[in-house]
Amino acid sequence: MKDIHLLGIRHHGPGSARNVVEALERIRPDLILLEGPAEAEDLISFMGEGQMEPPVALLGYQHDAPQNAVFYPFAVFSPEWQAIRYAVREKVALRFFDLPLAYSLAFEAGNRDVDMTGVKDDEAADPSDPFDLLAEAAGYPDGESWWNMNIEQRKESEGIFEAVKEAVSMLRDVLPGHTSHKDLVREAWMRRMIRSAQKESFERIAVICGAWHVPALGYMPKVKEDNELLKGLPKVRAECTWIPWTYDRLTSRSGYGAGIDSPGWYHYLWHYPDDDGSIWVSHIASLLRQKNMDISVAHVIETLRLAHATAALRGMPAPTLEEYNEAVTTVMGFGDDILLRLIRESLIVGNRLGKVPATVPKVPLLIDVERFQKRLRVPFTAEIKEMTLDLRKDTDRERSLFLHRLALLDIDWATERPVGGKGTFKEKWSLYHRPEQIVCIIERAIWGNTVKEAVEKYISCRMSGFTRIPELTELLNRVIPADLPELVEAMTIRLDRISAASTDIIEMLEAVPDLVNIVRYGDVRNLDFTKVGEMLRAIVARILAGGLLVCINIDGEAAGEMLENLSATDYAVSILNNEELNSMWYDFVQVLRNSAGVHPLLSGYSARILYNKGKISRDDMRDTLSFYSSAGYAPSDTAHWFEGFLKASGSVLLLDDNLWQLVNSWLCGLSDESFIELLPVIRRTFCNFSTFERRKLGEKARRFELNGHLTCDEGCDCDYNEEDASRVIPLVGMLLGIDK
Amino acid sequence: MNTLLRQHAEQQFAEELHELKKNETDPVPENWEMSPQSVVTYLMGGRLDNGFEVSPKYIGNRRLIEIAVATLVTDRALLLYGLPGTAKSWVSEHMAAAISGDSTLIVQGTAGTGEEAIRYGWNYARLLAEGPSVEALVQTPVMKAMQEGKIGRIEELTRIGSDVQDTLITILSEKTLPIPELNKEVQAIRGFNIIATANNRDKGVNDLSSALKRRFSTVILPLPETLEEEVDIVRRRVESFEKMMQLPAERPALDEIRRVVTIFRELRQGATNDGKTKLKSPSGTLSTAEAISVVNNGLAMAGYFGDGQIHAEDLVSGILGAVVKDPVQDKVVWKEYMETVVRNREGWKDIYRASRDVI
Repeated sequence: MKDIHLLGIRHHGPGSARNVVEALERIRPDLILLEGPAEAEDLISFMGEGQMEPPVALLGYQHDAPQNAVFYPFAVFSPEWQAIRYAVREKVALRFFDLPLAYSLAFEAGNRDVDMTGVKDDEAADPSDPFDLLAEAAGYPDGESWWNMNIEQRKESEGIFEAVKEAVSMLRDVLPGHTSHKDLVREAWMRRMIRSAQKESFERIAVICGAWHVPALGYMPKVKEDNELLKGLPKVRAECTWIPWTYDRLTSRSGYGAGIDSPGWYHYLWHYPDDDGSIWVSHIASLLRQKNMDISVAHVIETLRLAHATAALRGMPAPTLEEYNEAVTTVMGFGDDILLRLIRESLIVGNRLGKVPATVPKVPLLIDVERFQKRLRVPFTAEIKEMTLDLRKDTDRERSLFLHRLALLDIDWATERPVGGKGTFKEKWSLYHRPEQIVCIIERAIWGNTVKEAVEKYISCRMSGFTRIPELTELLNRVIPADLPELVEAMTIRLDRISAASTDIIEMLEAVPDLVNIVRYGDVRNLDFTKVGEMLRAIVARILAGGLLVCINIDGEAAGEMLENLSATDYAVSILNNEELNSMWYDFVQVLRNSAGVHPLLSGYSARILYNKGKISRDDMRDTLSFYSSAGYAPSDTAHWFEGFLKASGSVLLLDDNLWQLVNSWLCGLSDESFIELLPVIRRTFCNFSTFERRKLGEKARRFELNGHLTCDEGCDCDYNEEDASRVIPLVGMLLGIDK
Repeated sequence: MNTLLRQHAEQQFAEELHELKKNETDPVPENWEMSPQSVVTYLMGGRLDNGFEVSPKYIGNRRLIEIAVATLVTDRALLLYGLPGTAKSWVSEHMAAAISGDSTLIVQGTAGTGEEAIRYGWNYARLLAEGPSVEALVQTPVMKAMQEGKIGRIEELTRIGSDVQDTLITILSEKTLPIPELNKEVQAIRGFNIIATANNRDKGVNDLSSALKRRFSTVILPLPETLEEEVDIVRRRVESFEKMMQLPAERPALDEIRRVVTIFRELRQGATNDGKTKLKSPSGTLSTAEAISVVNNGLAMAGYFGDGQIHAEDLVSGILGAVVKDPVQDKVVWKEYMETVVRNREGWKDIYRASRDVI
């Protein structure tokens, strides 16, 4: 019988890692069987290159459906990682003996709907931690702390693997429901691999697997039983690669099944096994100092002493993270844990992103993305990064193009933030990397081998599904800054087709602001958007042609929506200030104003637009006002008309004396009877203004007499001291550049 | 029969302390009466190896007490911080009793506490008659604690003026108290430490200087987390009060205590316990300690003026006194609470009626 050593571990534990290394050095095996998919064996060689830096993860995905993916994350304190390092260093054969991805992915695909996170879930059958039972028996709060205290933080490793085996055997007997069918299949496969290794010429075999599987591998049932379990498993084509991972994604709060609470703490435990805590507390102090907290060396010493005293009081050989946290709170934070929360991310989670050598086989799209990242110096980072780009600089402009393209692929790494300040040459991005984004990139890889190609094909495909104009213009608006002229051209053509076929004027109105935006963007970026400009003109022409029809014989609600569209379009048109477009647009508005049957809300608004632009004289306007307020009109129509006319212009009325005088003189000119009749209508319009505006309006109105003239031109507001005022004149003159 | 109004902790719980010392298994720090583990057991309660039951003195988070005791094992001073009525002084007294067997070395901090109350004073008659001598010195509790290796207590540290507070710095860092008039000093012996308390509600307090702050480990004592915890605290304290005062009234039913605590909690957190109704909070803190005194008060009322049973009327006047600290604003708060919550709550009609009679 050959020597088989079963080493049961927890996937991420510095103590387990240390024990495994010690055990391997004692056993000196000639074959290591490690829990991992067979497909990954080719990737082991990259571990020796020294360029790989944990945390990294083995990513396995289904070739034709990359979203079906599993991760096997490794940190420097993962026993698996240390075992692989040992194998590479000592040139010992190492095999992955878990169920191959080809089967397990097929299993997943059949088992659940497409799940983007796809994180490997070790204990699927029952979410509770089986070690809680042991913890309860031993008087610990939960399984995690039991395992930490008894396995991870133990200094003596003698006989530990036997003890783990015994404990887990007991748990498996008590909790048969905790092992899922998939686990049983996996264990059958593992046994099969062990058998075949035994038949070869290996003398000492070390088997490293999750503690939960140890009892199942120690007992060998009949070959037939295992074959029965493994018969007829579905199979898919699987691919495998290394990807960088983050400590954040190792935490259990990120939804990772075998997650741990504090990677930063484990990192420390692994690197400084013999430290008495001084390195840890000094690290805390330096992090706090970076946050401008006054933390002295004396604080560090006293924190350390308190942590040790508390641990002794609780009967523990060494302080755990809990004791350190409490001591920091008490000594440094004066009883308050705000300090600790301030540095939680960098301390306990630890912002750390792994590295993978460039030679690892990857999908071409990912290679292209990485090439860009390297050239433009925008790498993935573990923490959230804000970036402001100045589009007048070449590098920044290229960065912007790159980020815009990735955003078009729906890879949520970079998100654009609104930017303050003047000018359109600035862009602000917030970069937040999560390892799933790599999966997303791999998923998009089917669209093309370079970022540009992938975007073009991906967007073209999406575009073909659109039937509404605003959807398309919105997308076009996003495509423009990515500098893809062919795509823009294709989209313009598509837009032209849709808008020609469309009869929906409202859609077209909705599209105008986006299109105007695009045309303006062209000015800033030196890009040629004459096509879009023509498009815009065509759309306005179509609105002109059919627009009137959608504005007549409609109810108040529809008119309200229409009003929003009109005002957005008017705003866009006046920003662009293109002469041709202006005249087309105002012609349309003129038609709206004059046509009978147009909803009074809209006709009032049109009158106002035209009055603002000086297309109607004041006398004309006064006539229009009295026309719409005359008795022949239904009161509700008058009310609507005024609502449209004075839409959101409380402040304008206050500041624009022109408009004020128009309204004021008209109102003062009303006869007593018509005034009383109109009063409710006017009230209705004015009650849309804010309280502040209304009060100010009232104050302003007090200065006028009933005939509409100012009561006191001088005197009340212009109460100034001649002598004081004359002293200011020279300075004002100097500021304005007028001599003397 | 003992006629003392209130006994010190070490007298009242002498038996428990004795049993704890008898059953000591862990190492005892020098000049301590018992091991840190036993101190924690004394405060949190528990069963000893010989079956003796130790009653809990502090009901709440055990880890906080462990941290506090561990602080005293290292030679840092302990500052208990928190709202009024969160058992700061109570914990301080019991810790001193358990560690030194003496909780009486206490300085009450006030705005008028001078340096001579913390360091030392002079007996002026002797000073004039004999000149400066050790005999003419008036020892303070802090000085005594240093000489005897005991725990000194300072209540309401932040009420003391900053200049006086800072006299503690040398005592806490160098563990010595110089007496320049006699060209002498008092050096603290092992076992000496200071437990100070301070509350974070009072306005116009003197915040500790950072030099002094650094010499204290701060433990914040929180308000009770759950209704059950708070009811438990009130019940225990009321029972011990009852024993001490020999009141003729029957012990209050748990339900009555629960009602008082519920009112206090709801007003304090500004929402009903079921989270359905938003409430205004009164200006007072409405701590657990106040709830205890309300029930005690009700007990006395029922015993001497009533039929020996606690009724809503006996409680309401006490509650009102605790809630309505500001005669205008708090009255509105209380009335609103009565009308919106109490009135419609099943079985609370008596409180509603009693309150209408009083207010």
